[in-house]
Amino acid sequence: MPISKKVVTFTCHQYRLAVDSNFVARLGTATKKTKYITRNGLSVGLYDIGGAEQKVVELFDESEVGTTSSVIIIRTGKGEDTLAIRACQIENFGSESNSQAVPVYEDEISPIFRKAFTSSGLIYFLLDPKAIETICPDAINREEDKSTNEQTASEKLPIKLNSKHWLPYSLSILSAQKRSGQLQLIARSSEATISFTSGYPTYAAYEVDFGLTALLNIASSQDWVSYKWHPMETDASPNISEPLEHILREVRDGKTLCKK
Amino acid sequence: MQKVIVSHQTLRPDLGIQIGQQLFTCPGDAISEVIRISEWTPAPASPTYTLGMVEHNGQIYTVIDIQKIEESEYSEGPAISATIADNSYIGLIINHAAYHPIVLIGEKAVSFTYGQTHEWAQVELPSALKKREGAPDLVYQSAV
Repeated sequence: MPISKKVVTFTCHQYRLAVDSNFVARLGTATKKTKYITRNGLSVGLYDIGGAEQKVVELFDESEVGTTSSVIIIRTGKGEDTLAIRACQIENFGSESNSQAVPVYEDEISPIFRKAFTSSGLIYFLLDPKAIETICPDAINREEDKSTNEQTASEKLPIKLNSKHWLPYSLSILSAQKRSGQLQLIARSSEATISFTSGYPTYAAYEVDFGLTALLNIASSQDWVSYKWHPMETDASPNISEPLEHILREVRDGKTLCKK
Repeated sequence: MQKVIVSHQTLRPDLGIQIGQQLFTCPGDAISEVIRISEWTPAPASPTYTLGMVEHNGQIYTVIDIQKIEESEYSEGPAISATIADNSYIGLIINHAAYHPIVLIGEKAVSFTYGQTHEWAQVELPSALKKREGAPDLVYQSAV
């Protein structure tokens, strides 16, 4: 006799999905504040959930800034950390007792939807939150980050980068600060958010190369508010890699950086 | 919602499907059923050769458009989604211990003379569809 699991079912884009209710901390609504693209094809937006800024994973389609969506707040394996998933519509609580492996996935997003089950004649794909946590750790809302971020939110790092490295791209970064686990760059009354996850130094270093694309886009756009690069885009010119590497290293090590 | 209607055809090892100008089959005892499929459930983030999932007799099957696995080799015929006007498809259920449960989708079921397929070309299935080595070959040839 197969063991029955309680699940929360929801729709997302054209798909019917479910998550084990044991993982679910609560359900709610959230309003999108900004958006950016993160690694491994997953989109993560900054949402307002109950007055607090939280990261929300958008599995398939990105919503517009300012719109409200249903969200499923999922517990992760570490303390009070959570993972928020945007849903088009949360259906109800159900049960599944005969989930079967879905063998067709080979790409890097595959661990998220490895199992499927039927309920009331419909096929649902069982979402694995641990897989999201593994392949996209910066999607996690970390409890320990809150105090760190609050502490550093008003602490602007004295970074000045009007160096020759940036001039070919008309980029002048006036200051930078860590905000919600991200590195926020301030330049010419605009701001950019660049991926930087505290506690993951190798992760940050890994993204140095991919950050070049972001910097190029930052430099070429006058109206950006928040931008995050896609890790697979690596066609940026290499001669601005060193400044970004300095930024990430210095922020990571808690030091300051001044360049002329 | 998926809707599956079983055609109750006699099971034969020399049964196959036709898509465009291509015939596909799997010799031996790997073919368990031929079913008619009118709808399937789309699978998130799946490869292009996967059309979705269907449930049949309590088992979830992955619906495969075999033309798309090696599209360049089977480029003589149009894509399956463009060839069947009434949105009704024939599914060839491959149910063998060496394969994960899959359904190959086609326009119609066809039969061959026993032993006719031994000189057909082999289809190289993605490794994700195989449970282990030793699966009977899926084979194809151009329709006469």
